[in-house]
Amino acid sequence: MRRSLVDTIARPFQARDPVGPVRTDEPLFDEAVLGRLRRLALVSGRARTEGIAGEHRSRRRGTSPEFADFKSYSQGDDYRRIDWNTFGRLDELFVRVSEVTTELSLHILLDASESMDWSGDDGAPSKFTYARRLAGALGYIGLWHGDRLTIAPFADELAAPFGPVQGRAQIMPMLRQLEATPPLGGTALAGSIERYVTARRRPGLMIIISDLLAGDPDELRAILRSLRTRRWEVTIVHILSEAEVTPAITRRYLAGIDANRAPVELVETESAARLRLTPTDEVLDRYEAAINGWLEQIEEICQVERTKYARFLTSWDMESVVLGVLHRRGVVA
Amino acid sequence: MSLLLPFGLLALLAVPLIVVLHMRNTMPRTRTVPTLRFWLAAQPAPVEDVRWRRPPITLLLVLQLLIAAAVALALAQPVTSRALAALGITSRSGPIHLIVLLDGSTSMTATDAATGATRFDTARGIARTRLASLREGDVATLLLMGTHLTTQGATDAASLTLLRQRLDELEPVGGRADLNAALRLSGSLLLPDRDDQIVLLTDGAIGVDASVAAATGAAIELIDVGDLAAAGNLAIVDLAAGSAPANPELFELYARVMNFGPVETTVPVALTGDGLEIDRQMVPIPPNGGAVELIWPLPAGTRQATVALDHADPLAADNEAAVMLRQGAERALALKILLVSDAPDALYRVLTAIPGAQVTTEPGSGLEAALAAAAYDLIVLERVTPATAQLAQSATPLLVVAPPPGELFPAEGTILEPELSHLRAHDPLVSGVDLAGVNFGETTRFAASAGTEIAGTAEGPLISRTTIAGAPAIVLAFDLARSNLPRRVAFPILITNAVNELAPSSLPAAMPLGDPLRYRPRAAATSVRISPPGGEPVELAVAAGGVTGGEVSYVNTGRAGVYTITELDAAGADIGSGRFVVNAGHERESDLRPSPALAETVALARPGEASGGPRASQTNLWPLLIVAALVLLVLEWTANLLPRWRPPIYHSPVSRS
Repeated sequence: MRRSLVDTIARPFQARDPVGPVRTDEPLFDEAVLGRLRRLALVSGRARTEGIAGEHRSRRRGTSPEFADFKSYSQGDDYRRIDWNTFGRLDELFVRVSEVTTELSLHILLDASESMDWSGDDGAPSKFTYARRLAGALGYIGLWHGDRLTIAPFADELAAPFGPVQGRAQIMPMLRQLEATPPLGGTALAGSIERYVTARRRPGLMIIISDLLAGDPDELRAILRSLRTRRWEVTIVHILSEAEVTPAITRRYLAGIDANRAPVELVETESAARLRLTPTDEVLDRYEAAINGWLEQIEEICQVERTKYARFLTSWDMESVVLGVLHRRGVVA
Repeated sequence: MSLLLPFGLLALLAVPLIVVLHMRNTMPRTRTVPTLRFWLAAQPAPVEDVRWRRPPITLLLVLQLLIAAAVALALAQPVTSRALAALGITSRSGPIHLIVLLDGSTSMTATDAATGATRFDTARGIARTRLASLREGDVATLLLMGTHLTTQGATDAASLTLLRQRLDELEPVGGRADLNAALRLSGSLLLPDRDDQIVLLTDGAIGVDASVAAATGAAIELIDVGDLAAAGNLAIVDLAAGSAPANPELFELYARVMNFGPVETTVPVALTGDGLEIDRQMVPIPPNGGAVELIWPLPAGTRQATVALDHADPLAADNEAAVMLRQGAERALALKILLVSDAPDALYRVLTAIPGAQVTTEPGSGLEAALAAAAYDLIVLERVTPATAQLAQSATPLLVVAPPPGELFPAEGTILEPELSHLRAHDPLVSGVDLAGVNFGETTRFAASAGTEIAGTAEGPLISRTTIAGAPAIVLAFDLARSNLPRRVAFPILITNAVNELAPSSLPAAMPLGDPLRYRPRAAATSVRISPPGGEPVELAVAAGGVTGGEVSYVNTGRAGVYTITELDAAGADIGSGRFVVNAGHERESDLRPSPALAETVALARPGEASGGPRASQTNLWPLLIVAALVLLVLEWTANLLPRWRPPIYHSPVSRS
């Protein structure tokens, strides 16, 4: 029997290896999460365009079918907007004022590099799975509210994007597409973004979902500055595993249950470069200091470049924590 | 400590193997990470990746090496004797049979400068300790080695106590210890149900055949009680007196003095005759077994001559030696022979040549008068047949030559040309006697008697041993006058053998310490009383019958000095006495230097199948080593589980090609 789409989405997460690279065919959402997502909408300050399909309300009044208010007739008003029923009851001319709605062009750039396909925390999904779920949630919100959505996975280079699409009928294809998206290889974050925006005439809301491990922070600074000057509204969703930032879990991942001085050989997922070390307390302390310094530098860059920044750990719960963070960060409302 | 299975040490090859394994840079477990950026920042400067490294001195390596060494040693089955046994750490599992070979030779009476005790006392103390360690069910055998072996055993607690008491009372036997005999006896005493162990307590001045040691059937633990510092010793190893060539009535004294020390020593040598100093001279003696021979003419009438070295050394007993001169000491015990013959020339010449013999010659007609006048030790009858009654009265041994046919010797004819057809070659009477080519001449063929035929023809006996009137007798059937035997070397030997067999022994002028005295008293004697110097007299009964009958054997000659021997008849009356001297000096026993080959030879002894397994007095260390290895193994595991004890791992970034 063919499984329904909702069943597929609601299927519990399959068991997977506790650590290391993970499988990519996991379902991304269940129905309860989707129901809550419908009540949310993306928030954008300037990246909107007028359109019939959009549901985003505007302060401007116009001629759209959406009634907003009455006003007294004045010279020059369109006769077609006069409410004759009101004139009959009040014997005074009133004009129907309608609200102008806008649509949002949402661009989700999904990091599909090998570094994302990793989980060092037993029980937590991989960063890539987490990123796809987050992209699916944001895309779901956008499509539900009539936004124009494009999801573009990237790694060494841009992969074939999903979209632009609009309308709720595209939700399921979007989710299937995300489910089917595999890790693609190395990472070229700045180059991929540059190529993506070059091919777009109008700026929009860009959400970059990545672990940002590719390239130098200065490259990130440069591309964010470029996007800002091109009037793109950018949000960075930074996905990390707890094993990357929490020393205790890092040590457990590296050495197993007998921790401390067990020697390990580290293999970088993308380049296969190796490093042999003994994860002593001193080494882990230095590692923690290095990654914290890097995170602070990322935040500082985002702040300077007026880019919304939200960091997520894969161990966080999607419904209660992630959406809350996005709300607090002004990404959704 | 020794190894029962030395090949087990091959397991020590594991030691370098372990070191090599620790020198390898082993591949650690692999972990994938999203990026190495932060790990590189957290690492110290990377070092070059090498496949081998210097051996890391870690607790794990040390423990593993110790485990390998302990197991290898356990496989070699090391055994040690006293060190651990003294701590009570032994692996004995059953009763033991302790055989103590205690050297009681002359050299053991030497006094060691370090302890002030004699070597025998030291050895006795060790033996006492060993006996004290025995438990219920153990068996002990004590063999005191000297010229003769003394064996004492104990099989239970009471007899063990008695054996210890006897050990305390033991005196060195003296003489030369016969270790070969002791080991043969020990081999025959091994008990299959006991863990046999042989402890040899000696000063090392002793020898043993390798074949005897190897065939003992049990390992021998050699305990050397000698003191190398006391090895230097001077000794008079030989002293003898003989007639002077120029004047047979005078004696000359011959002495041989040896120096076993490492340096030449000049010592005063004094000659004393009957207590009066005759001569004193300074004599240089070369070292390392060098000898000096001294000869003195003795004054007429000297009965006892004594030579003394005025020198202090570990063994004082061999610094003095004495000799009893024959004309004085043995006059009372001189061999009295009555030769009855009408033509005594040939026999007289032989008999008078026997040392100590006093020969009285009588014609055939004078036999009765001669027997009535005096007592003789031996009667030689040539062509004379006495009356049986006369012989029965005297009970004197007889040597009868060519007896006339008669009542005592009935004849059955004549052997015209006797040809020797049978001979008892091993009979002491014909020992050294070559009868080949002897022409016996026409001989009377006597009827077969109850005696033993020693030599004879197909027709009748020529030489026989028999008993006449209750006294031993030897009969030569042939006539010396018709035979060519008197002109051959075999004749004096034959007559001397016959006299030695029939007549009482002569006393030696001097004999080495511990040598047994075999003495044949005169026929009338039924017992002999021997009085050692400073000791209680011992009365020995004369053995009766057989070839060796009529002898006494005295073995307690372990004390140097003058011994007195007295012959007693059946009534206990003194029928004669004499003296002999026991001298302590001996070329072998006075040499206190240990025999270098003794330890190697004794080490040839191995446990036999019947007494397999290690010696119980030895501690087999393999169980202790296995326990130690297990403890080390536990420590090694513990250390391996504790991360801080793990060896550090060198690190380096490596790119996969």
